[in-house]
Amino acid sequence: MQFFGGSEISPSLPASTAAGNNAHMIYVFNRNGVCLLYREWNRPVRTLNAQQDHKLMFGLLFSLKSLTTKMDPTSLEKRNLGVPQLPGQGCSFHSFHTNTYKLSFMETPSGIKIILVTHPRTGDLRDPLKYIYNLYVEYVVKNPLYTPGTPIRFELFNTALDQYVRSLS
Amino acid sequence: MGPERNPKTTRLLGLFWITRNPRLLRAGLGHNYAIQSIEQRGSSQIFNFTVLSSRKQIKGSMPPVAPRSGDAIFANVERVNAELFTLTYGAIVRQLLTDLEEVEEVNKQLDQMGYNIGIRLVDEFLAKSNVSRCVDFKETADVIAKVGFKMFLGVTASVTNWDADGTSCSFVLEDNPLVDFVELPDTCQGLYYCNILSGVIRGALEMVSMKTEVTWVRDMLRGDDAFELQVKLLKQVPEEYPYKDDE
Amino acid sequence: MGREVSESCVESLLTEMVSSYCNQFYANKPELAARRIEAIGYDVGHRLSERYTMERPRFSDHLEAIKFICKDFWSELFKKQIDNLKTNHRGTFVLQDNRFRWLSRMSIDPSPENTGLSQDSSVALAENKATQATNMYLYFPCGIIRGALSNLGIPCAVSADISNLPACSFVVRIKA
Repeated sequence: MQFFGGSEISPSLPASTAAGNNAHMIYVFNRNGVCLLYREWNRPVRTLNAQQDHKLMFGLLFSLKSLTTKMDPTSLEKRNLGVPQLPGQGCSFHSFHTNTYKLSFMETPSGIKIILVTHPRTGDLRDPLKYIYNLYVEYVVKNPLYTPGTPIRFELFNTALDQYVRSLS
Repeated sequence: MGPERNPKTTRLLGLFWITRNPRLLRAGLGHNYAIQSIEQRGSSQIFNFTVLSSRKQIKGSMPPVAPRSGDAIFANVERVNAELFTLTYGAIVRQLLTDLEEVEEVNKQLDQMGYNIGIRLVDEFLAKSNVSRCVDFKETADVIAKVGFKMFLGVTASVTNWDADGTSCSFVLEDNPLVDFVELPDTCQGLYYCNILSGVIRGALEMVSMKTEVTWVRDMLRGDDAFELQVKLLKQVPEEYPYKDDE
Repeated sequence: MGREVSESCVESLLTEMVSSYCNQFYANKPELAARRIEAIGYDVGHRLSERYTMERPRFSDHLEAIKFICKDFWSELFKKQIDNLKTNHRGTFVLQDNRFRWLSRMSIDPSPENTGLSQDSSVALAENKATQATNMYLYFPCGIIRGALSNLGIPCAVSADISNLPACSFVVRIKA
């Protein structure tokens, strides 16, 4: 399988976009790996179909968490790679960046994973991710029409999320 | 869990127009906060939120932010008249007794409804309390008793009767808004009137990977001096990779 | 100020009650589910109005009683009054709450799902489903109003109109 197989990706760093247009896309997964939300604002290159894309993202996070815990020099608790963990167990990574993008990640003890992909020069997004979790609680979890574990299709939530993400710098 | 890290940094910022003033929103990003409520006014959304801590405090080594106190959260969430809650719950129990006939079926149904509520409420609890990990059963039980009960019901539970290996404990409630003005008639022998609570706890704990068994030990409606729920940890369920390789 | 609980307690209880009756007990008989939900609301309204009118003189006429529902009663429940009251003076009253709390979080995305349906019918289907679900919730406050008025000696029928969300109008028809 070719991961980011498309050769059109520009090797040079894209010019820093104007404030308010930093975010590429967001994913929200639940503890069972169901992609509750995928939303994109600026994604010029798409190489996989949606389902493969979501699965790859979830797999990346799953493996990365396992790796970062395995490499933790401060923890006595040593686990074998790939052994399932409890959400919040071990250490947790919150972002990585490449020359072309930055991925910020948050996981709640209930296993909700929020992933925001932005311009590589974006600052620390840990607080904004918490804020997005709060939006999820107010507009999705508390919406009586929402069935837990199903994809999110709510206008109020999407509007609030779009507005908020646009304000990030 | 203890007092706030620094109570001075916790304050209600009040009304906040997100659509009309995005700059204000960015200014707000210097803080770590929880949304307490959202109102819609015309095309604008007004966010009421509380600052949990300023970013300066948590930058650098980023020590885990201490959970907020239940009192502080309860003071800031939207609250309603408890009579409405108590009477609505009572009316539901009465209707279930009529429709399901068997008391045992009603107990089961209340527990199931509680479970469904618990799996939703857990995220509100986590988002507003700032609890970032629930790996240790003892810590988790403590935070549920002191923060969870307080932020939703406005009362505090105590945690007692730990067994030797730390996998079983009791939540004790001396004050319980569910039973204000309730007296059980003789025809309801065997009814666990508050069974919804055991379901909520079971559901919420399951979402943080803890499979539990929750049973009533004491019940004031049956003449005991308090409500006591025993919570027994059966196992902690780690997160499995959810996809098969050949999918 | 009396005792309070978090709004989430009441809202999640309502969500679960409606879902139990609509999806579990009477999945294929929406009219029976509606009747049960209304009955639960009636019970609550009846008891609440009993409590709130204990130390009050009797209402002299229907309008006085309706005004009590719009002001004191609504304030106890929602911390605000009914925004607009209309009547045809022949026993029909329309009580409008411009932003009814129990509907404030209900929303759906009109974007179509990936179904074989054409975009228009899929949107219509999603909206229709959401409207149906929303109507089920409204049987509860309708029941509350009917219960409260019936406790004040006024038999009536109550329905809700949400053609103008997030506003909600409750139509009270007093039985002669």
